[in-house]
Amino acid sequence: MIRDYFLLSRLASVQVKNRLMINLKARPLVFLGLGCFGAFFYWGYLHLCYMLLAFIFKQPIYGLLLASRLLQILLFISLGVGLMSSLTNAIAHFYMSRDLEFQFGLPVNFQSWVLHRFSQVYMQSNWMLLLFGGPFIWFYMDLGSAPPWSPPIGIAVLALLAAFPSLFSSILCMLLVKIFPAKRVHQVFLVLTIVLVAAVIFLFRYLEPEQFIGPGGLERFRGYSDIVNLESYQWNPAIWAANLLAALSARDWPTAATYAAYLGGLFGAVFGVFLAIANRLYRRSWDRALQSLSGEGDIQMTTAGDSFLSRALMRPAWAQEAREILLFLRDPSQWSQVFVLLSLLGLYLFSVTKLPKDPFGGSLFELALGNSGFIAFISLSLVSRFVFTSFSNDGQAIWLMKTAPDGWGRYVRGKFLVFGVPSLIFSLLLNLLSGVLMDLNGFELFYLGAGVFWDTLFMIGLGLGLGMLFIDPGVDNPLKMIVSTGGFLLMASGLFVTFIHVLLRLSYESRVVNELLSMIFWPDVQGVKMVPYALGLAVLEIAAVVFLLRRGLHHLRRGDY
Amino acid sequence: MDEGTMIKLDGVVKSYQNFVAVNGLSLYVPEGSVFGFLGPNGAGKTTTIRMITGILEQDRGELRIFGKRYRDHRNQILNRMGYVPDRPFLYGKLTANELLRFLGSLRRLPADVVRRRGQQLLEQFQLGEFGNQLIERYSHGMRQKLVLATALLHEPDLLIVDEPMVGLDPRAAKQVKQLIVDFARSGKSVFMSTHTLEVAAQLCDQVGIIHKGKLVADESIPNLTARIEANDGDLEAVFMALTKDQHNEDMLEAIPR
Repeated sequence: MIRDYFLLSRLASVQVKNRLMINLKARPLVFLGLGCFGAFFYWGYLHLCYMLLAFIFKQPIYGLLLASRLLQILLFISLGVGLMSSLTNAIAHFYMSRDLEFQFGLPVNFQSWVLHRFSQVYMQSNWMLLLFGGPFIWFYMDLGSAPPWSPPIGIAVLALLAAFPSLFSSILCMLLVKIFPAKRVHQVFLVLTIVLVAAVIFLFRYLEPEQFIGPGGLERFRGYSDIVNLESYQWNPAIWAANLLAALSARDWPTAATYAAYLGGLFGAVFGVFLAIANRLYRRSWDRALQSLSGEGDIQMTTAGDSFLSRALMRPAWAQEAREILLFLRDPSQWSQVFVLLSLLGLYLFSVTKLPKDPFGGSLFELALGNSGFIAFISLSLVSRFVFTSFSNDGQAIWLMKTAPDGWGRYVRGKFLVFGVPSLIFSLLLNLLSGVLMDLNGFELFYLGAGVFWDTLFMIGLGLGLGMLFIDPGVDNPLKMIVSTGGFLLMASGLFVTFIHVLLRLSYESRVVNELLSMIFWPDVQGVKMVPYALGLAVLEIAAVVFLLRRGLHHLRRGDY
Repeated sequence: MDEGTMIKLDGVVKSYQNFVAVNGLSLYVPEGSVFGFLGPNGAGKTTTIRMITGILEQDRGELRIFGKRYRDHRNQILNRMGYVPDRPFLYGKLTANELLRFLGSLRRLPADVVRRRGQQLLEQFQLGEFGNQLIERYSHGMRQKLVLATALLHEPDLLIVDEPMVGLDPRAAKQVKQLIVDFARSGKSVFMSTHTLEVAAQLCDQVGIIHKGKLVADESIPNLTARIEANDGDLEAVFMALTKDQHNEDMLEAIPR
């Protein structure tokens, strides 16, 4: 059984290694750059984490108490986040993976096969938690009065705690797929996860975390942690884990042993239930899932047969747009993203209402100009998610376009109208709403709107051009394109140009900003001196977009992808 | 324009980075014929077909379909051509009816023609009752049949088929063979890639055998039959001899029996 488990794990790890090597060989510089950036970011995180904990521990009287409460809150949240992540991972790994059929046919022990699948769910759902939570716990144990051998125990406790959401999700999936179609369960989980994530973000924002920074912030955090009072959740394994770590840190061995027994006992019980359910239900529920995923099961009739969009497919002038909209509307993963974006919009507008009215001694309009950069960043995210990925989203079915007697220009126009124009409208709406909330007058609103319009249009052009140039119809999940070379280029160039735009607008509007920036080789752009710079930049941007669009169209025509 | 020529390739080259997939390929397919394109795996069959269908652009050489070049007459060529790829990738979130309507629109067919002909083709391929179901629910064979329907929707003059029998049940495979024969009888042409030598011998007027990106044989069926007879009636032996790879032969010899 153990041999089979390791064989399956090796199969998975070799695939990961091969994928990594292929990417490394294809784009060594991008890989090196991303690796350096990741290492720098992680190093920064470790430093910040250590400094924060060291600062809290140094507080007289309640330092240890405060650190322990922070640990409780973090473990409590980790359990929730782990659950959300495990739900979608469990159904994907146990029922929807492409290699399931192949692996079911292998002569390996069933238990080891189930354990291997569970390990994949566990790793995929918790690697980030272990990567970022692990050092936090290590520092906590290290900075407290825990014995020197306890930090690894702390990491082991975190790893054990992370197993609960994965076990619970796997059990839930097996029970639900026995009753409902696997695809439907996956969609429900996806939507549920998105709603929960949005709710968590809203809650976090509602707390106004900025109150915990600055003078008196620590006091306010103590008051807040008193209100939350997680001590009353004594049935929760996250609190057991936190209490165990706190007891270890305080060298309170009997309490540590009690909570270790609680955690170990619960893990044994849940793991036993998982194995029993897997033995009894999994094979049969997989058969059912396979049936519902194939064409032989109960095929759902679509009601769109006579719909407006379906009829629009017959109008040559709008067929591409109708197809794009139909495919978008029928793809639940797209809708979940829209939901997240709308949540972020709400969050953003809520934050705008909290902005100080006299920021840094400057005018509100200057703040609004700076805010236009933030809107441009949101536009960039929209373009990156919807416009840039839309080409790869067509997948292998793109051969239908390649062999259709219809110009590529019309195909790109469809992408622009269906994904680009809504992004543009969304950005303008965001600008209008935030401007109204900031009490801007009509001219200021128009001025800002024109700026946001230009920013977003430029980004849409970049997104279309780079989307065509870096199209990958073979990618299993088009969202992965966002972190591809093309996605990276889009984000980098979009952010750079946005930054320049905002600085130009601010230095044009504010003499102080103009003078400050002149110290770093920034030109004087006050008054009419702005004109050549603005025009020059506009010409450069138009030329870049035209170049990318032409290269992109050429790449689409050549078909080497 | 070359009268009576459906496809003409002259010294066509296509490379992927350092790998030359098609190396100076020249071939000619006349009107009203079924041309079988044979070759071992990785010989360059699919790359050639992708160039003929306009999916890929050749690096060098000349490619003419109906005597015209893609660069100048892309839409005209594609309007007279139907293509069935080896793997039936389609938009899973559209229904078969919607896909046919969409492709009909791209080819500027009148709506009533698309409806009538689409329904007729779906019935012909036993998909009539599944026309309003999402394609993602279709089995591989159903998708393959739907691709055939999309290729025939606009009544093309030239049909390009990459591995036509893969994934089809015996009834559907027989139907496709008959369809190819009828198609050629009506004066139109078929360019077909296949691994199945019997299918090629049964359906084709002429076969081309490609090996390592080069055409190693371009034979009419009577010539091929003569060769087969010279090899004791063994078509496989002819194919093996033409696509012999010394390296592979050495490896086979090295295997202990």
